[in-house]
Amino acid sequence: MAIKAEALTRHYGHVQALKGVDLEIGTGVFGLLGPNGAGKTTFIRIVATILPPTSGRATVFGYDVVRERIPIRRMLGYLPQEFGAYPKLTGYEYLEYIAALKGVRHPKEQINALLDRFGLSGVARRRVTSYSGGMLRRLGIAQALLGDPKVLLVDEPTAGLDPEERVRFREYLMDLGSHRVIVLSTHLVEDVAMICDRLAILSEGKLRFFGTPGELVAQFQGRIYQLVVPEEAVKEKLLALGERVLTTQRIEGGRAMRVLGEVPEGRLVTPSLEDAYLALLRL
Amino acid sequence: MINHLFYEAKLSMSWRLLLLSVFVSILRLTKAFSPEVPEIWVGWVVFLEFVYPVLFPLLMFTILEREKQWHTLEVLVGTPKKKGMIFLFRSLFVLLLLVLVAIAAVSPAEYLLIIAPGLALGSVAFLFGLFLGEEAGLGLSLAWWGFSFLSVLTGRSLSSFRTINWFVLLLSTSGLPRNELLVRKLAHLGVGLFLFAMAFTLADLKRSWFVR
Repeated sequence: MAIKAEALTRHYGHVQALKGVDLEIGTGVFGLLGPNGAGKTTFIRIVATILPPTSGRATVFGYDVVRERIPIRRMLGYLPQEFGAYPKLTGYEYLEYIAALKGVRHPKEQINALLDRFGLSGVARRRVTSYSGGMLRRLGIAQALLGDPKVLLVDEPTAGLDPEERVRFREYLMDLGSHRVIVLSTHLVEDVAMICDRLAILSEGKLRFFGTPGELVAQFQGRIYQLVVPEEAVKEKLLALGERVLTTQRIEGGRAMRVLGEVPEGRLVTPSLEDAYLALLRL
Repeated sequence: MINHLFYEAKLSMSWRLLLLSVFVSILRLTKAFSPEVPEIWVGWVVFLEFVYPVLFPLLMFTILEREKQWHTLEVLVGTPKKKGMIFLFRSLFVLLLLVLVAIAAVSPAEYLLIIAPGLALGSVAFLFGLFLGEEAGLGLSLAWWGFSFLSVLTGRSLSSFRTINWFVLLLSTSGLPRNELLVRKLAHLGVGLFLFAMAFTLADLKRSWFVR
């Protein structure tokens, strides 16, 4: 396995961000899903050697994230959740600087290829301060790919992107995932449903699920019901069903509710990945 | 390596500071500013010794703070390049400018007088900035400067406390014999260089780069 975590914990003072997480991640796109504050970013930072774990152990291709940071950093591409570039530099200069830090030899060809691939060639000579959120994000993934890393860690890469950018971004990741390890941390189920081969769900620092999207959906087969509620009865129904309601969607004449567990007036439906994810968090 | 150095220079270079050193040099060279008259010269050196060292910790603070402000720290740390080397280059470019200003502003005999306390304060800001957080580093260095300033203001005799008086950085008004003053300034310089070396080593060994 490329990335292995054993009983990984991390505390910030009294707050336990990770509580004994065991994970094994191989080649392909791996989704790390969970609500805000679940511990995803902490996990990514530990693997990226930015933070040491409080206890437990994590390795990347056999190298320990605490004792053998340099060999890990040599094979790593990392796009943090809050990515920024130096305002004094242009897009091209920023990539050239990161290439120098990564020790990339003859970086010009690689930089030009990445700028081309991510549609940044036209703005490469402009200062990064003039970039839109989407352009900055693409610059972020370009810097992560410098040096052709074996492991790519991307933390909430689609946050703040418009729908078109988001679709394009997922395509990039799918292409890249065919021959490297990609860990995608996100709170968007849609991202995982579209591109991930396997996923883990973290909640309050604990590992709640580990497997394929199909396996997660299968866990809730026969347990998700949909009912249509007229608009005037929505409040009452929500109160009656409480936490069992997974999603509601406005439809003509009322709302369609997806509910965990049997409801007399509901009909059994095939769960989506989002249903299964939300249901798991309710359990 | 040259590429790396070029970018570190570009990132750390303060054009305002460079302009200041050029400006002061022009004033000195054209004799528009001639502090050779002893009364002016003494006042000028005393003023510089009080004010100039504060620039060092402020600039060291900026080096660390900007990485967080610009959200560039995590990518930087995630690269295999030694962080000590990165911060060494950045500090050198900043310190070089500060030293250039000093060279332009005072005569060679007074370099040590204004550079030594600056290096000592800058190194504290940098070392403790890496260790405890940049605000703590800056706070500690300014506290040290404040202690020295208060010592001068309250006019305490430097000989009254045997060990503590070595921590007083501002000595031009102390009345100490020139030789002893230089020894103390050399000690401050030595402490500054030693703490800087420790800071760069710490940057390499640092395991937790907690980003708020």
